[in-house]
Amino acid sequence: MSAHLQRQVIYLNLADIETIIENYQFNIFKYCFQMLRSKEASEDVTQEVFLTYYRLSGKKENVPQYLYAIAHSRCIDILRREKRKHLFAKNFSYEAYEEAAEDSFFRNEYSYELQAALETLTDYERSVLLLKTVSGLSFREISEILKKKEPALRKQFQRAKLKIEKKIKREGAESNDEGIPVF
Amino acid sequence: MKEFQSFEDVINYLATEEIPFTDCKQDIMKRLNAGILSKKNTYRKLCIICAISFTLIISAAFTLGYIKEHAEFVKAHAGEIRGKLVDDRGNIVIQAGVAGEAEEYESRMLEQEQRKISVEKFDYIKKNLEDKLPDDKIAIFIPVKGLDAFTDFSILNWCEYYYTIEDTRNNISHYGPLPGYVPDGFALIESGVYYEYENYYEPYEEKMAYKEFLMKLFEKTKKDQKDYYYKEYNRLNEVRGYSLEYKGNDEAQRIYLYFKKGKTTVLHDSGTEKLVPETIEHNGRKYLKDEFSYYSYFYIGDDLWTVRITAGIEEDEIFRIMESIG
Repeated sequence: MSAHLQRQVIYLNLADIETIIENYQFNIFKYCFQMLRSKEASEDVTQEVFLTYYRLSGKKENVPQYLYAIAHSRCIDILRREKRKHLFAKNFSYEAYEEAAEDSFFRNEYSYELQAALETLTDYERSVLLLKTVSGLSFREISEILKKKEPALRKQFQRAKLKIEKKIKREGAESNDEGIPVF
Repeated sequence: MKEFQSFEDVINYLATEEIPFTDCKQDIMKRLNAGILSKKNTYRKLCIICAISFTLIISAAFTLGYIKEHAEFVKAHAGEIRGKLVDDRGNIVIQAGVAGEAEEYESRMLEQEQRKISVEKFDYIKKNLEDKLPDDKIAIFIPVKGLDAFTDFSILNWCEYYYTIEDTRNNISHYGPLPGYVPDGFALIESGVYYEYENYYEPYEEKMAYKEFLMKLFEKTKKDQKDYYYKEYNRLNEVRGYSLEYKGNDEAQRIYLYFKKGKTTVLHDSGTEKLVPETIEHNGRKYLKDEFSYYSYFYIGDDLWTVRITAGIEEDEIFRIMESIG
C-alpha cells in the first residue's frame, strides 16, 4: 500500500479538508478518469467526492478508502445512468452520445484500444482492476471500499484479466488477418 | 496505430498514462466556505435526474391501473420505494425510491440499445409532426422502422412553455398553486405546463395492459409496412402539472419546482443505493426529503397537489419557498 493511504482519525475542519484534498485529489481524479474516460465528468465527481466526504466525515476514520468508496459509487451511478439514457430518453437526445471535445483531445494512439479493452469489463470488474493495479490497494482494502468479500474480488480481478487477454488476442488475430490495425 | 501485446501492457499503460488533471482544490474550498455542498456537479446531476425522474412521474400517470398506489409503475421499473409521505387524512400522497437493478431491467436496456431507427430520422419525423400539430391536439408517435419490437413512443404537444411568471399564472391560476417567494438573485427562465388529453387508450379493451396496447399498435403498423404509428387526439383544458425553472446569479445555480395534480411516485434513476428518504416537519408542514429533493403537498378544495423542489440552496430557503406556495 502506498504511503498516502494511511489510517487516521478525522476531526474535520476546513484546514483538514484542504490537506485531504491536496493529498488525495489526484488519485481520486485518476481513478474517476480511468473509470469514466471523461475529463469533465471526472472533475465533477472528484469535487463531489470531497464535498460528500466533508459532509459525512464525522462518521469515518479511514480517509482513502472512504474517498474511493464515494468515488466508486458516483462513477457507477454515472456509468449506469449513461446506459439508462437509452431506456428513458424519450427524445433520443444527442447529448447522450456526444463526446466532449476536451475528451477527444486526450485520446492518443492507445486510447481506443484501451477503451475497447475496458469495455469488455463490467463496471465492478473495471473498478477492481483499477483499484488493484493503479491505486495499489490490497484486496482487503478494496473489499472495504466495494463492500464485497475478498475471494469474490479476487475472482473478479481474474475474470477481468482473462477478458482483457482474450480481447487483446482476438484483436491481434483480426488485425493480422486484415493486415491493418483494428483500432 | 500501436496495440497492446499483453495484459501487463494494459496495466502499465493505465498506471503511467497522462491524466488531464486540473487542480480543483480552490473550487472545492470556495464551495465549502460558502456552505454550498452541491453546486456545479450536483446541479448538473440534478438536472439530469430531474428530467429523468419527471419523465418517470409522467409515465406513471400514463399507466392505467397504476393508481392502485402506482404499483404497476414501480414494478415496471423494478423499483424499490424507500420513503413515503402520508397526509392528514391518512393517505399516502408521495413516495420516493430508486429504479431497480433487476436482470429484467438490464435486459430492457439491452433491448433499447438494439434500436435501429436513427436519431436523425426520428427527430425529422417528430419535428414535422410538431410543426403541423395545432395547439388543441396531441399526438402519440411510435417509431417502427428498423425495430423488431416495441421499445418506445412519444407524446407530442402535451406541454406548453412560458417564460414569465405572469404568463404561467394566466395559464394555471385556476388550477394550481405557485410560489410567492424565491431567494434573491433567482429569476424564472422557463415554465412548462402539462395538459390532460383525450384517453387514446379508450378504443381498446379495458383489461388490456398499457404496454400490450402500444405493442398492438406497433405490430399493426409494422404489418402495414409503415415507418411509424402516429395519431392525433384532443387535448383537454385541464392542467395535469407544471414545472418552473429558476436561474440564480451563478449560471449553474438552478431551482426546479414540479407541481403535479394528485399523488406522486418518484423513482430516482441514479443507482443511488444509499438513498434513504426521510419524513420531516417544519412549521407544521410535512415534507419528504431525499438526497435530491424536498416534497410536500397542498389541498386546494378537494384537489390534491404534490410539489417537489430540487435546488442546491439552504434548507431554510427551501422551506420559505414551500411555505410561500399558495
